[in-house]
Amino acid sequence: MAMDAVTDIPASVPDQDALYAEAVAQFGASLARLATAYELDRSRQQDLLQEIHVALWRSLATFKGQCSLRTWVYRIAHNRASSYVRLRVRMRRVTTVSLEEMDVETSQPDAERIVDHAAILEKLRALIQRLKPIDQEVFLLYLEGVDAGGIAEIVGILPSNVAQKIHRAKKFLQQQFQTGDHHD
Amino acid sequence: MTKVDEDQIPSIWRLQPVPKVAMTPELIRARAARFERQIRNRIRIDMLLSLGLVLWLVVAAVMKEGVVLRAGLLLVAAWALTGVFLTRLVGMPDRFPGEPSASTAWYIRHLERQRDYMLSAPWGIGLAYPGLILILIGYAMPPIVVSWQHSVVLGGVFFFVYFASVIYCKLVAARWQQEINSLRSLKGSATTGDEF
Repeated sequence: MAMDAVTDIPASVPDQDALYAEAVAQFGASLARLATAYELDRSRQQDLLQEIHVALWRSLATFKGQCSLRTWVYRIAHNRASSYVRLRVRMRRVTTVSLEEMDVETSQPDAERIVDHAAILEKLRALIQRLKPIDQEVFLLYLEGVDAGGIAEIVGILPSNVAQKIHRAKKFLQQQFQTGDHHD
Repeated sequence: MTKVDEDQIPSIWRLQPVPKVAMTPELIRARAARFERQIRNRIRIDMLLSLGLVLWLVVAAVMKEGVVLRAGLLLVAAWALTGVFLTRLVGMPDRFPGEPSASTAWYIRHLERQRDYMLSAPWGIGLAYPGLILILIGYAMPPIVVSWQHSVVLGGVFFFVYFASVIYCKLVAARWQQEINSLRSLKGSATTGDEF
């Protein structure tokens, strides 16, 4: 990236700022939700989110329509967030699991019914934190409403594997958020 | 009875209040520049420390007596200097790649780098050993002559540490390889090729 000799600030290429503005307008809220999923500590969420924005802005210097803007934005955001998570996992030695392993290791439904959205979100974030990187990404993209084909393109795995993981995720969510009904 | 359907969960997720980030391109440019400066400064500090070690070894080689000991110190200095150049070669912040990889490919590349690093680490450590052995021999020879027993025990410790690190690195690399294979199977690509 070219650097401004006086300010030591990398110069932007034409359209980079405009593309960035467009990406933020379309996916800014998604990026913010992604940051809250990858980092639970509120004070650090802003740091992660800013890092994602910086990485996105830098990357857009080379965007020439090689893929859709959505695919580009999500790839950059998840790759940056994954780096962040890897560092955190290394520091805290957190054990992660795949979506396929979840019922064995984490599926302990609450005794109470979960009807409060805040509680659902909290539980979702806790779940995401425990997933392996690729599964985290598939799950988050599913939550963001991206279809299986889109997820396969962004993540780079076979659509059949995406479908399998989404099926597993849905089954797990059903197990987690409906079990309370039996207690009524 | 209130029931949360699993199909409602994505909507609940998307409707959550989120923090707004007001980052102007100017602010981002400044932050990106600060990031690159931080990386460069960290590498400069690493290099200065390594060069300090090299300098200390060279000075020690000049001051000490005995050809073997001097040769050992200079070999270790050459090893440290090579490390400095390799750091310079691979450590500087890179330009952004042309296109961001799909996450799986990106993650596989990262794991492969970690695996290769683990597999090459014993070679890197091992290259310091000829110099270290010469230093031990040098201390046991005239005109210094500390004691042969002392050198042999220290040599044994060096070799134990080395072989323990080789085994550790191999085990960690095998774990990364398993992860790589499982990711490749998700991609639908063959799992043969880069495995060791």
